Amino acid sequence: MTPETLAPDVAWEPDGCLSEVALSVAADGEDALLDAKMHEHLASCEGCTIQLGNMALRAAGTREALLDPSVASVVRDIRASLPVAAGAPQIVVTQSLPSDVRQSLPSDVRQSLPSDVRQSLPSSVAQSLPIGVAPWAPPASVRASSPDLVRARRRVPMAALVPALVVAALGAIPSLMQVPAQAAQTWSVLREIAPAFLRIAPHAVAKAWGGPRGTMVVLAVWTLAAMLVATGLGIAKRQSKKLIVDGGRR
Amino acid sequence: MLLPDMAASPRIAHPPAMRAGVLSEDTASLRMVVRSVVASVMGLGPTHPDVEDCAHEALSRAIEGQDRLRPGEPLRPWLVGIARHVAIDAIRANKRTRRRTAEGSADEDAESPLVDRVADPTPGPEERASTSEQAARIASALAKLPEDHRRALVLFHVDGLKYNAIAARLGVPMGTIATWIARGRRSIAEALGEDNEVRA
Repeated sequence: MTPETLAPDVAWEPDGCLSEVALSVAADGEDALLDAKMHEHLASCEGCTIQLGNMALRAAGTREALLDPSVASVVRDIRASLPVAAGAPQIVVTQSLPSDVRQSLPSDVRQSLPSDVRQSLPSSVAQSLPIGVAPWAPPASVRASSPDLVRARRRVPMAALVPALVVAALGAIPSLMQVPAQAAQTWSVLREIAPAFLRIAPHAVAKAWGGPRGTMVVLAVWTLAAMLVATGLGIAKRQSKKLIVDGGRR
Repeated sequence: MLLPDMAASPRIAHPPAMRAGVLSEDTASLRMVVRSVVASVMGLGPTHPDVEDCAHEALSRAIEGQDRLRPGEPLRPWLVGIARHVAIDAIRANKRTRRRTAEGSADEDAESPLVDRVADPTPGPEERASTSEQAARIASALAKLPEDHRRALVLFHVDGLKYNAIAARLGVPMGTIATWIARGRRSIAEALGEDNEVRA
């Protein structure tokens, strides 16, 4: 493949010297755009050498001008108008992003947001970046459960889990070998205390369920009340998480 | 005559561009640009001994000060800046030498000394216009440029892309990018009053 070089009508002046474009190319170090004849002329022509210096100074001056903080907004607007680079990172924007995340987006990303969301952002935004934006909405099947969009599905670490279980099983073997002996001992104890327990149990049950103020009745009522409070707290916590993920919007 | 301290410097005896480091980019190309900048600033021919001395000095300073080159900062503009400063320092040194010579001469009633007639290359107060005025001029110059020229300039000078990357990004040949950048620079230089009489 032939390397691309400047066309002769672009690179040469009628007087036989290099053009402003060719000298600009040389000043920028883009030497591949100049063919051998152009390089040869540049090395031997005093006038072109001095003009090369002028072009290098002009390039440095242009760079300084463009990097001047006072024109940052102009440069930012130009950059925002640039076409998206091939292979540039794509940012997927969804309205379910938290508001603080949306506010940190660069201006060109902000432009892709719906107008109502855009208006909620502050006027001062981070410096724009040449990145592509792909407005995105979740599929209907998962739209209802937006927390699932944020919460990444984690794979079970089987590689760590299996060896750990094996080691634990090996460590439990001595204890498991003692189980039959312990069971027999427990059985003999139960046989000794069972008659006494059976004599006491009917009296204890009768006492516990003895009317609305019995011990077991009070215990059951308090247990149900505690379960009711815990359920309410759980529902409230889940709803608050959903609101955060939705960016506070209902 | 010019820059005797530089001429006596042992650094000049050993071409600095040969050393590895900051000048690992095409050394011959960089050396030519440095020499051209010095010649342009000093108004001398590129083969003048003073220009050669200053070019060596600029390359030496670049190598010794390469730690000051910030990560991501392009090498060429930085090196061009060094070359420009070295050339300006050389002109000042030359002026001081001439002043001493003029003061030591017996013809004190002669017309104005030579040093007063030598243009001072340093920017004067009138050149240091207010920041807002300069910003307005830059913005105006950018606004007058075709959009493609603006984009090419920003991609090259701000984003630091090479011509081939800009060509790929904007979907045009590299020669077109070269033309856009050259014309854009000329417009901005004219707007800032910094045109160096480069032939159009």
